[in-house]
Amino acid sequence: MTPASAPAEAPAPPDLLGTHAPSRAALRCTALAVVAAALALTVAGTLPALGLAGAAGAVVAALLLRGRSAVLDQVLGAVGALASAVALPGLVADAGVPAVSPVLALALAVRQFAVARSVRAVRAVLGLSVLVTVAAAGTAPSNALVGPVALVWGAVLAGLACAVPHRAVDGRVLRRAAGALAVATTVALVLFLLVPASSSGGGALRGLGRGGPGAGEAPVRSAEAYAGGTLDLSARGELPATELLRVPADSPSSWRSGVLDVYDGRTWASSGNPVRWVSGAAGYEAAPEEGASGPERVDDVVPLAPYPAVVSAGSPVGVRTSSRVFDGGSGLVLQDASSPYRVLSRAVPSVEETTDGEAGRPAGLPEDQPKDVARWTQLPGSVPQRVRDLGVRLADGRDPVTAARAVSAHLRSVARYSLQAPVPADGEDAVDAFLFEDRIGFCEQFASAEVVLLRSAGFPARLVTGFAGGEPSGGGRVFRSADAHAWVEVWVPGSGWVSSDPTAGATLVAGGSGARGWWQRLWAQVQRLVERVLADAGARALVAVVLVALLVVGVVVVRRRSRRRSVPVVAGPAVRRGDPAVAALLLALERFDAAVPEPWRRGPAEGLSDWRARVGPALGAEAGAEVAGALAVVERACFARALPPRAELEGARRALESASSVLLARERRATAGQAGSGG
Amino acid sequence: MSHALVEPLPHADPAAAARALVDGVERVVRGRRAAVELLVTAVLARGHVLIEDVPGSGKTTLATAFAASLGADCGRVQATADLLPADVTGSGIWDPAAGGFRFVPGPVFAPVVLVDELNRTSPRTQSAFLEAMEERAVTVDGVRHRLPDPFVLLATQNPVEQHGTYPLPEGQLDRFAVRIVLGPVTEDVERQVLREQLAGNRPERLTPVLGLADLLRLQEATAAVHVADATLDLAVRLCRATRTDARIRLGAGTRAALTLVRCAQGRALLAGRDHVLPEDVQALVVPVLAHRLVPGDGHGLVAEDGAAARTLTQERLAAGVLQHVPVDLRR
Repeated sequence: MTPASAPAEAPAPPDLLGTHAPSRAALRCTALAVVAAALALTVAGTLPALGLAGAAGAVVAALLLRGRSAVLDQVLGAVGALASAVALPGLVADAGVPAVSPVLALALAVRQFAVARSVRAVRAVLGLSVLVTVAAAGTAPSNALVGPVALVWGAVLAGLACAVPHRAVDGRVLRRAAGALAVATTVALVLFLLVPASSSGGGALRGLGRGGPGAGEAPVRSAEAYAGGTLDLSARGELPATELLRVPADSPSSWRSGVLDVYDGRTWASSGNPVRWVSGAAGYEAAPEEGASGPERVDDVVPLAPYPAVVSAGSPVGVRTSSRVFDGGSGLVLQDASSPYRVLSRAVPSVEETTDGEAGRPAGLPEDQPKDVARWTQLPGSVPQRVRDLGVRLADGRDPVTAARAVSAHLRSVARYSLQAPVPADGEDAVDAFLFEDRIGFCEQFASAEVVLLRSAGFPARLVTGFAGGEPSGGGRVFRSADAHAWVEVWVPGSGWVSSDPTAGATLVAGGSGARGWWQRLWAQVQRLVERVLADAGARALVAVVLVALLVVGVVVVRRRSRRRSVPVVAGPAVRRGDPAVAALLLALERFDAAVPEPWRRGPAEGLSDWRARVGPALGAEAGAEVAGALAVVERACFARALPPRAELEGARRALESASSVLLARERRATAGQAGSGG
Repeated sequence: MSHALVEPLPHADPAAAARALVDGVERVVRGRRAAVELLVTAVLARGHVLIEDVPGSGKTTLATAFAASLGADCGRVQATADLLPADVTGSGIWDPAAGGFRFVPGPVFAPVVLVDELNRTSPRTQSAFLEAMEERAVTVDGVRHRLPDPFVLLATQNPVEQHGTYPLPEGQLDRFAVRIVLGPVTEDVERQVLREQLAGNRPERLTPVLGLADLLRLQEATAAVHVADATLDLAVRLCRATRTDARIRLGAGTRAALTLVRCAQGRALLAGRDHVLPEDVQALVVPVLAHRLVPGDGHGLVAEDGAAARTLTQERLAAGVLQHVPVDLRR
């Protein structure tokens, strides 16, 4: 039974490293996890696309080439780490030193993946990729991270489950992984629910909704901005669901709070209130605005939260309130932001219901042009020629109503609606970026673009801010912060100012069509429910308690079931798990076998006790006895019912390792001696 | 119907008890330690044993010494050409007093049954042993009679004489757990045997060292010996290797693999271990697998040189398989 006698057709000798080396499936999962972590960093804006490409390329190369030689692995690892961190200097310049650590962790993960040779090393890489993902989520929480995060977690779990090659991925392993995932998720949710939300508006979940690329530098939107006389097109973020105003249920859907006319390429501002207010006997009154020819109506407005701007269901002509009122530039401002008021207004028709101003011209016909045409057709030099050309082309020399409809239709067809619209770069015109580059925006972008396009075509137009929609509540209609809106008014000869809302009917980024499917409505419901739960501390605690109870019940049920199932049906060998000490011992045995001179190596079909009897005398009395004892431990570790105690396993491993080093040293001395005698 | 001597087990340790049985048989059977251990191993694995050698080499002595060491009744069948199945199993006899047929059990109804020169009897009678060996029961006149437990069948066969013999069919060979080929003994041993036999050291005079109940307990302990996955794989791969070997026309089946593992358990118990080692499996490959192999035509020694050459060929083939199947070390 000498090793040399094994014929060519014999099966390959068992590779003891196999118990220690990771399975191919685990390696693939690890590669996926590392690339997904890099993707998460890119989505979070911490890793430039160049770094992502470098990391992905390095991981794929390492997956294909690793294991050929140790030197190649090291080179692959070093090159991969460099490729991942290639954009680091620019990153430091842009975002400062703290942004470096996730990228460095990624580079480390890529390097470790290339040189990983054992299950333990692979597990470390999996852990690193989780760390990188967590760092990405911490840097810039956004919805776009959901995909990469799910990918990383799935890959990590699968990689952990199938890391050991000879251990089959059975239901037990999968159940254990799923159970761990469920417990971790529940605990995380409970922690999230119980940790009080930060005062800067809405907990982490709210934060997830904010952002998009470059969200860190964008100003945060607020409902007050829609009444403040200026509107920054760079502001991003969702508005809270705070209830602000209650208006009569039968009032028009759009309520305006301000009119903005000056566009500077990035923000809208007002050059003065178009309505002149005077303090009258019955309150504040104004001469009807130029072009405000619609029927008058009276509405009572009740602020549910302090909201200073006076809103009106059209062009305002009078306000009755106990508070003092100022002219805020773009509209009226209350001194006491919580006092209710009664507002008189003239309705503003919409382009959808106006037919070129021919129908029903009331008395006091508006002129063909407003008095101050230059004010309503102002355009800054930052608006590029392509925007102006587009406006002229869309208007096509027709009347303002048709032009406004054409512009709205164009906007709805080319752009999609999302609150996470990209922020235009410095020096870039916001409307140009929206129309020709990003094509994603919300009401501000849609309305600004329509005003700019209409003005390009020579039509007087202006941006109007206020509220739209609202929900019926308590016998009236309630506007929340999230209902803040911006739309367009265009001058129509014969009708005066006519409103146009290009945002209505725009395609959502997520949805395939403008029509909301049942799943979108359901998702909106879920979001509203989650919002409501998160807003209420009591509800949060209640949900946390329910989750904990569910977790406890689940654990008890699973325990019960597994106990009932664990009654042995067949008295087979006890199921045993791979033990790191055993793996280390087998590795030491492999090395010892390699260190032993050729005639004493273990034959492929040689059992340990046969080998023990053969190899002992070859080592000398003391070392031989020690090795024989170690081999007996290995034998028991492999074939006995119970694993030998850990101390015994460790002792055997040490004995084998010291015997290997003694043998290797002896061999080295022998070769050195030969070389010496030869020279 | 118990033939057991109800005695407490003299040894709490099953390994010691099994060794005592080996020593007990060796009181008479000298110089054949390996064969005796193999016999005990097979019995521990609840298997039947085929002993093959030339006449006068101590086959019958081994069997009777074994029975005597157990203190068990030893049913004995001298297989001849005119032996009938009823002579083996027993038959219904008219009982005038009861006015009906009464079943008179045959020699097979004993815990230890010795079948001498099994290949001398006709295939019809040989097949009467099949049911007894595999199912541990016989059916006579449509009534099934259970055989005692433990039940060990020791058969001998003479490989030299070919005249008037019926070679055992493969199906029956497969039911023997091991085949023991005794082989020659040394001069010293032969002289010692002669001296002792002359002095009257006969197997019939042996005192039992173990009861049948103890043997049952030993068999249970054997079945509880641990078999690691790696060891089981080795046994399976060894049996499969006999099927893929080009020189073997018919390899060992799954029953052979099962028997191999069971016998390895017996060998481990005999060695005082609570787990089977790959060496146990390897050591039993020749005795357990060889007699089940049908050599291919390329080794057509069978017709010309007789059964002895066939046995040699089978053993070489079985031993050849050993080196081709690696021993896996893993947990």
